[in-house]
Amino acid sequence: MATLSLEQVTKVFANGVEAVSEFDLFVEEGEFVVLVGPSGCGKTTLLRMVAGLEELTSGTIRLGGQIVNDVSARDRDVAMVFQNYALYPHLNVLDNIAFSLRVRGVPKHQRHPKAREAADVLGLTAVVLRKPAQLSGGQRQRVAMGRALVREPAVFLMDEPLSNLDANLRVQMRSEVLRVQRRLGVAALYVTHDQTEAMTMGDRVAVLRGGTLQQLATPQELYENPANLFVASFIGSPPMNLYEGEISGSADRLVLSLGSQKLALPAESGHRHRVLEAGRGRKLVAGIRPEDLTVADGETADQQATLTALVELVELLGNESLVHFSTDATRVRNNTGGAWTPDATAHGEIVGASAAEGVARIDPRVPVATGDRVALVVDVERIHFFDAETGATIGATDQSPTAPQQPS
Amino acid sequence: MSGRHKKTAVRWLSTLVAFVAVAIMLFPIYSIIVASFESTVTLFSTKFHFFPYHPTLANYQTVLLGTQSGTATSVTISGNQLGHVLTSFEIALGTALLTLAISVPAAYALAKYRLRVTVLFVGALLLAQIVPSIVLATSLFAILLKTHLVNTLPGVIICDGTYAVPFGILVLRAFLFGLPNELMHSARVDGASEWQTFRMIVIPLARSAIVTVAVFAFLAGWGDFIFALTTLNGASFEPITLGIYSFLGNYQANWGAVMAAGVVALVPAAVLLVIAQRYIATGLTAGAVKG
Ligand SMILES: Nc1ncnc2c1ncn2[C@@H]1O[C@H](COP(=O)(O)OP(=O)(O)OP(=O)(O)O)[C@@H](O)[C@H]1O
Ligand SMILES: [Mg+2]
Repeated sequence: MATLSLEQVTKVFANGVEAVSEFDLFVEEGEFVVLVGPSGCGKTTLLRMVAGLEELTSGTIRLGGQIVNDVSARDRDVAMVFQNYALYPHLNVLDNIAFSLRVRGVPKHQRHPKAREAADVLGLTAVVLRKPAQLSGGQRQRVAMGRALVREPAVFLMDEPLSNLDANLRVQMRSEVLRVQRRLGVAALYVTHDQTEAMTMGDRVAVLRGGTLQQLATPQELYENPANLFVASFIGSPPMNLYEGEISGSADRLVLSLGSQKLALPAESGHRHRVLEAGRGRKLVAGIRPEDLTVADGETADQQATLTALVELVELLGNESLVHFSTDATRVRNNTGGAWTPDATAHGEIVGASAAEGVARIDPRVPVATGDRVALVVDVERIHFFDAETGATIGATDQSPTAPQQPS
Repeated sequence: MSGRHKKTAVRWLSTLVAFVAVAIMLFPIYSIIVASFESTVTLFSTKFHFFPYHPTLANYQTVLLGTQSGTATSVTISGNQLGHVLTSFEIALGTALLTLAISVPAAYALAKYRLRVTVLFVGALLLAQIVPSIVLATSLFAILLKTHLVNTLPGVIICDGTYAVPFGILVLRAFLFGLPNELMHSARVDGASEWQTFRMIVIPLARSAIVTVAVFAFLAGWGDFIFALTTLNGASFEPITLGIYSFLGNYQANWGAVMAAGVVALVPAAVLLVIAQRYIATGLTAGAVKG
C-alpha cells in the first residue's frame, strides 16, 4: 500500500514520438484514478513507466514517497493487467494466477488455494485447469485480472482490463474490481476508453490528449465544469452540442447568437460574465448538454431562450428520448473521436448551414416526430463557453488546482 | 474442367510428385538395407536385386558380434562395432548438450536485448555456417593440440559444436522473436528475475525449437566424419563413421559388413527422429495475447 506520484513525467521514444509530456498526477493510498483519452494518447506508455517497463525521458515517479525511477520492474511491487492479457500460454489458469507467488517462492500448497480463491471470485472455477488457448476472450481477460488480484501490491495498474467482456460481465466485473481494490486499500491507476467505466469507477478521472493532461477531477466536476473544449466534447454521451457563437448586446443584457438565432443570457455578476462582456464581437464556442434542452410547449415558451430546430430523428430509449435536430448554427465537432486540434476550433468543422446536428435528451412522453419544427428551450444558466482559439473554458479561473493545461 | 476437378487434379499431381521425390531420396537407404543382407559376392553381381538374392545375416554377425563370416572370399578385419556405436552416441549427446547450453541463452539475448553489436554478431554466425568444415578442421586441430584436447571426447564435441551452435542460435533466435515481449514484461512485473523468466517462461515456450535444435545437433555429432577423422589420431575409441572403415582394407573390402554397419548407424538416428517428431514444429504460444 502506497501513494503514487508522478511529477513532470515525460516520455520521448527513440523515433521522436513524444508519447507523454510533463505529466503530473498524485494518487492517494486506496484511491482509484481512471485515465481516459483517445487511442494513442499515451495511456499505456504512462502505465508502463509506472510499472518500470519503460524508462522516463525526464521527470520523477514516486511510490510511497520513494523515487523509483531506477528501481527495476520486479522490485517495484506493482501489479499490472496488460492491454492484451499477456497470459503464459504453457501454464493453466491456476498456475497463471499463481505465477507471481511462485517466483516469490511460495510453496504450491499455499499458492494454489490463493489462486483458486481468486479464480472463484472471477468466475473461473470451471476452467482453472485449462490453458489460455482453450479460453474465451472474456475468460482470458479475467485470468489477467486474477494475476493482479492474487497479489497484494503497492499499486494496481490496469490497462483496459474489461474491454473484451460482454456488457453484463463488464458491469459485474466493474464492481468486483472496485471491491477488491477497496478491500486491499491499494492505489489504482485504471485505463479505459469507456467513459461510463471512467465515470462510474473513478474517484478521480484524468483526461489525456496527445500525451498531456487536460483535466484531473472527480467525475461530477469533469462533467459539470470541463476545463476545455476537448474535455467537454470527450466526456458525456451523447456528447455536448458545440456551436460557433458570438456575444453581443449591452453589459446587463448579453445576447448569444448561434447562427441566425439569438439567446438572451441571464445577468450574472461573476468573472465569466465579465470575460464574455469583454469578448463581445468575437467568435467563441458555446456548449449545451443534451439534457439542458427541453421541447417548449407552445404558449409558455420564453422567446428569449429558445432555439428553433428541425427534428431529424427521434430515438426512443424508454426512459428518455434522444431528439436529433438541425439548426442553422455552425457546429464545432470533436472530429475522429478525439483528434480534435486547437486550431480546428476557430473554424470548427462546418457541416453545412442547414445540416448542423444537435441532440436533445427529452422526456419520452413529449410528442415529437421526425420532420417537426420545434422550439427547444435552452437552460441558459448552464451553457458552457469556450475560447475559440485555445479551447479553454471561458471564466474557468476560479477552479480547483486540477485546472486545465492548455494544449500547446 | 470445373474448378473442383482442377483442384482434385492438382492435389493428386502434387501427391504424386511428393511420392516420387521421397522414393528417390529414400532409395539409397533402401538399397543399403537390401545390401546389408547380401554376401559381398552377390553385391558385385551386375544385376540389382530389389530383395536380397541370397539372404544372409552374416554381415550383421560381423558387425554386432565380430565373428567371421565363413566364406572364403570375405575378409574379416575387425571386431564388433557396438563400441563405436556407443562412442558415436556419446559424441552426439555431448554435441547436443553443448549446443543447447550455448545457443539457448545466446539466442535469447540476441533476440530480446537490442545491442549495437547484434547485427554484426548474427552476420558472423551466418558466415560461420558458410565456411566448410574441412577448412575449419585444420585450424581446430591446431587449437586442440595447444589445449591438449586431441584424441579426447570433449575435443570432438567442441569441433562438432562449431557447426551446430551457430545453426542453433539462428534457429532459436528466429523463434524467440515470435514470443510476445509482453510475456517477459508481465513476468518481470510479477516479480520474476531475468533467470526465472528465462527458466519458467522462455524455455518452456521455446520447447519445440529447442528440441529441433537438439535433434539437429545430435545428428550433426552422430554423422560427423571429418572432425572425428582429424581430431582422433590413433585414439582408443572411434565413432561408427570411422569404425566402418575397418571393413575396408587396402586390398580387400567387406562391403556387406559396411552396409550392415551403415544400417546399425542409421537405426538410432531414425528412432530419435521419430520420437522427436512430436515436439518439432508445434507452436505453443496460442492464447498468449489478444488477436
Ligand atoms: N515503443 C514505441 N516506440 C515508438 N513509439 C511508440 C512506442 N510505443 C508507443 N508509441 C507511440 O506512443 C503513442 C502512445 O502510445 P500508447 O500505446 O501509450 O497509447 P494508448 O493511449 O495506450 O492507446 P490505446 O488506447 O490505443 O491503447 C502512440 O503514438 C504510439 O504510436
Ligand atoms: Mg493502450
